[in-house]
Amino acid sequence: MTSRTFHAAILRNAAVLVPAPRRADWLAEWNAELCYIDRDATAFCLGSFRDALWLRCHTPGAIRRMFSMDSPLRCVLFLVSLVALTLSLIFPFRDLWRPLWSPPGAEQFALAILQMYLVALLVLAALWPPSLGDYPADPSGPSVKIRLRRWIFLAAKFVLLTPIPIFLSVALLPVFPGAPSILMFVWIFGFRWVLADQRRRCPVCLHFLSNPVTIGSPSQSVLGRYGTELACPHGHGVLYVPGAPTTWSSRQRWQYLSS
Amino acid sequence: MLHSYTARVTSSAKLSHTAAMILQAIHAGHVYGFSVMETTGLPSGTVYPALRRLERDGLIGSQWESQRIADADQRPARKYYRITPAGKITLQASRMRYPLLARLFPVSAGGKA
Ligand SMILES: [Zn+2]
Repeated sequence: MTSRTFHAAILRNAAVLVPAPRRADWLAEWNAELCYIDRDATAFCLGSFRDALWLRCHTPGAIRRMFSMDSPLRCVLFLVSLVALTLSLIFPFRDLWRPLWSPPGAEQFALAILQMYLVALLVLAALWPPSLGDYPADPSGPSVKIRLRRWIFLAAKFVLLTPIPIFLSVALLPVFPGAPSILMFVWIFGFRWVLADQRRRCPVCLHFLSNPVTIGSPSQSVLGRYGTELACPHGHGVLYVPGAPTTWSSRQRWQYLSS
Repeated sequence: MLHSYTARVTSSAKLSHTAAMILQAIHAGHVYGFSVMETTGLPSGTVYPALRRLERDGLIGSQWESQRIADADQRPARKYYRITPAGKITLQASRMRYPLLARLFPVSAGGKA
């Protein structure tokens, strides 16, 4: 790799931080200035990260958009980066934690973790019924592949969330010896978030539903429909969330717009 | 009108020495990011965010040079900065705060000031 390619690569990486509408202009300016640098070009290019970050922090809504988990891919990437981050916290001290990974300590540790994991799942099921709502099978609805993708997405979130509290509690052990005991609570709230996140998404494109509209009024909750309707921004369907649970409608209900 | 005047006064009162140095450098005719770096001795990670801030506050403006000129010199077009009337007022106030500022980078005869 030539130094010119290397420096251009640094600038391209920093450009990722720049809000999209300003990115091309920003990159053109830095690349143009780079042509005039005859020494310390690497230091010059590294400064671009600070500039990019400044733009990101001072563009209204840019931070929110950067961390938005609207797309399912972003959501999975966010969880993957949390796994990587928590793993990186314990990796430098792996010799310190060796008793936890080697027998007989490993078996006891794994058993304790498994127990807490199962208790967390039971508590979750008892406190917040894990139902995702009614998503009726529709012959004119999406294909099996698309429906399967929704379940894979849910499973991926559960799988990715599982190791995060373990790594975090191990990393916290030196400063907080009781850290593993809070594992269960982190899982309970984490899994609750996973379910809530899944309920807020369109079952077809897995993007967040938007444009909430209140329908009916609380006084109509017994005889009429009272709740909120959310729509998929890509037009796949509408989700009805009951405002007050009744005997016949206590679960959210999805309706495909094609049906 | 009053609001913009107040904003300028507030902004000038808050202009850091670094920002004032950069503003003075641009006023003195160092209109490109890299030439501001060379003149002030500040690193790129300080100069460019400061340029964004000054531009956001309306103290400087920026423009791309003509592609024709850049093509004739066989180099990419550069973005140059110029001080705005509000920037000049702020610089004037900053010079009172930092008396050595004008002597650091005097305005050259051929400068864009
Ligand atoms: Zn959709």
